[in-house]
Amino acid sequence: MAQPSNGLVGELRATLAAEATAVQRYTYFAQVAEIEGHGETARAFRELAESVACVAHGHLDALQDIADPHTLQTVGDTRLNLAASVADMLHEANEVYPRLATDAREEGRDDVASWLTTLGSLKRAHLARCEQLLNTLEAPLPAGAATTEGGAGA
Amino acid sequence: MPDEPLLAEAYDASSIVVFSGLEAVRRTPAMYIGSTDVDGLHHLVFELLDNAVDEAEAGHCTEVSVVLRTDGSCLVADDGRGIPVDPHPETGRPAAEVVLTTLHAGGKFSGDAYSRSAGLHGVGLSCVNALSEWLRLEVWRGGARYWQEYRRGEPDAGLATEPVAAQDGGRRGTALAFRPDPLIFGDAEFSAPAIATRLEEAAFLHPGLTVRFTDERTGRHEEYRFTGGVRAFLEHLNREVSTVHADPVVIAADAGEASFELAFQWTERYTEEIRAFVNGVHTELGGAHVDGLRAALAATVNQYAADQGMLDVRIGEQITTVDILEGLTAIVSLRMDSPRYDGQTKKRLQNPEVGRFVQDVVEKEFASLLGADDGLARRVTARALEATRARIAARMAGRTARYQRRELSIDYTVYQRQFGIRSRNWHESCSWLTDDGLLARHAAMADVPADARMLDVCCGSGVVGAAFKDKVGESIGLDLTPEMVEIASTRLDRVDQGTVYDLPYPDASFDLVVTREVLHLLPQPERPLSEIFRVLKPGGQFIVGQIVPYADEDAYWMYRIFKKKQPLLNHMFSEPEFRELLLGAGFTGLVKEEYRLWESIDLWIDTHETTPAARREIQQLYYDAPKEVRDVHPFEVLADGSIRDQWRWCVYSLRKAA
Repeated sequence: MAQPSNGLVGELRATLAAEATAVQRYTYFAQVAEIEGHGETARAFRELAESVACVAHGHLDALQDIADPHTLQTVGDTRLNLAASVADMLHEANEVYPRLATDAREEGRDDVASWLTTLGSLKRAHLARCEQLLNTLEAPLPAGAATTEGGAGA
Repeated sequence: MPDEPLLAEAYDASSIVVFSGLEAVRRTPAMYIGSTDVDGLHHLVFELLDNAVDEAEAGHCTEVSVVLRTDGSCLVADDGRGIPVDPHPETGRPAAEVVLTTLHAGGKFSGDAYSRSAGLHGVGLSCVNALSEWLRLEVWRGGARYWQEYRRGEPDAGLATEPVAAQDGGRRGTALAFRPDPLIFGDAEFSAPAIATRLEEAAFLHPGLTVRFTDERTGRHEEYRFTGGVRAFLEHLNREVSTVHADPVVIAADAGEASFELAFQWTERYTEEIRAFVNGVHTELGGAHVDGLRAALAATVNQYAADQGMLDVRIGEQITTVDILEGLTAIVSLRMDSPRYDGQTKKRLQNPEVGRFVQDVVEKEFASLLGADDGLARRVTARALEATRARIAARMAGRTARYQRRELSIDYTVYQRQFGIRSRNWHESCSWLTDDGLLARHAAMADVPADARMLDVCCGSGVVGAAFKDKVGESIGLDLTPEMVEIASTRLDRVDQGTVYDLPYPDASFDLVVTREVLHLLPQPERPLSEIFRVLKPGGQFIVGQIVPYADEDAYWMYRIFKKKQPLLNHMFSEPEFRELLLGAGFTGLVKEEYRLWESIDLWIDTHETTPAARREIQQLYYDAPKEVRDVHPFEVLADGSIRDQWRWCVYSLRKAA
């Protein structure tokens, strides 16, 4: 099978982003419908969200073998996935949210700035968590572990 | 075989089966009662209650009482036939003992076991017994009294008996007292409101049954007995609140396959209370029947308001199905064939056709009622419009406090309106405002001369300043709203009206400035802080309390909750951020103390500044809180949906350098 073109891969990525957003929007819309007392519509939105979540995972299926590993955005084994997540979190924690918080403050929206600041902190907490997991995964076996085990048995 | 009864007495195979059954309950209690938190605890009470109610259903019982004791135990008693005590044909043991020590088969692992609905058989008395540190059984039956005690599911001795005294000759019934095992439930305690709610419903669903509830821990005593259907139950629920119209509206209809009886009334409260039932089972999350009622109410009231020209058409004013909820109390009791529910637990009814049935009938009946009673129509419509306008005002409030670059312009009238209205029930609006422990924390930090001049900034009702009165010579308050100035004047020596952005005092006027839970509402909080710094004398002290998140993992979640509660929220300070803000104003000598305080969220959000939609969103944020939040932030959600949150208060003392 021929590799899909870069253009197609790019389009697939964009669609993945759109479908992933749709999952969150439908879930949110379901809650609004629930609060407004439109139970049937709420149920429909929840069911749509379930289907679309499955679609988004399907896009990831299609992308996982062909995405470029150098972007750190691929779906690979868990070690690679953790590394990709860490890269995202680093970007969000240190660049995206601090910059947006500054912008919001400049625009006179202290409340939005505070919201974005809490998210920068959250991303730093997530970063610490994933980095620790990554370290555990990457830790080589303690030197001589096999022989120690053998020794204990002897 | 003559030896068999003896064998059963001994520790033989058959008794091992019995005890290993109960051991399983103790090993994995959540499988039987859902959880080992306060909900699990209540499950034990409801299990006994359901048994008593079953006796009532069968026509053998007229009274049930539930008593919560100070030692953490609970008593459930009824005047039913009494649990049978005659020997069980297979084991030879008294039937009551078999019921209390044998896990009964069938149904207990199905979803129904957790539905907590009266009339369905639950997990069995033996589970309650197994999970109790001790349990005392008393049975009056056939002119005799029987009793037996158990420890963690095992009988201390055989069933004892004595004839009943002559004056008690006709007495019959069952009384079970038990103390939930702390090894299983930790320090979880019974919640009186959650149990009372359940007892009220049992009484409503069984007209003529008397249900008594006593909480010896607080001296509360209630008696529920309803013979007047939905109307009587509604009047009971609204007994202590002022209502918008004197008489509840009652509507009933029967269409063969479905019939309903419902009652509703608006109150001056902000929160709604809707109790909905399908075939006698409480549908906690409502569903089609409740949606139908809300849609009908919104449509009818909107139509009336439009016809009377009460809506402001310029801004497209419209009463929504959410606005209509504000202050609404409603009971819906629906009977129908083959109801369908979301999920296993019967919490939300699907059946859209029933929703349309309820909606059509209510729209027709309510419209003709409003047409016939202009006073009712006007009061109800005005109440709904109040909610509509508060919703619009809340949205605007979030937009008023903006500034461009460094030019700050605040619309103080928004703050005045928000807090002025709130002055009506200021001290009832949440627990922390008047919590003595928290106030004492603030006061304990004061270290100023006896003749000190103190300023309580944004003093509200003046309770914070009043907590310092023994420590200072003169107490002065400052608040933005005339309503609060008036209230605080009863507590402080003098109260001025003014803004914290421009304190109406010369430099170095005070030895002590105090405030609490204010800076998060203010844009550019460094400005009021520099004002506070300015009016302090050199060497003066500043004491400030603030609710802060527990960690980075719950800050954003708290932001969402607090912003929905109060649209004027401008900051959710983390502890390090708040500390930095204080030190940035030039203060030194920072000392911090922490205080944990349980707050009823249901009470906290029962306020005009929180819209009905925001109220539900806040509840949902608690119900769906991410694991990472739950791991760091203690809160409780009870089976009836009520929420308690433990807030982390930080109280700081700082100095202006001498």
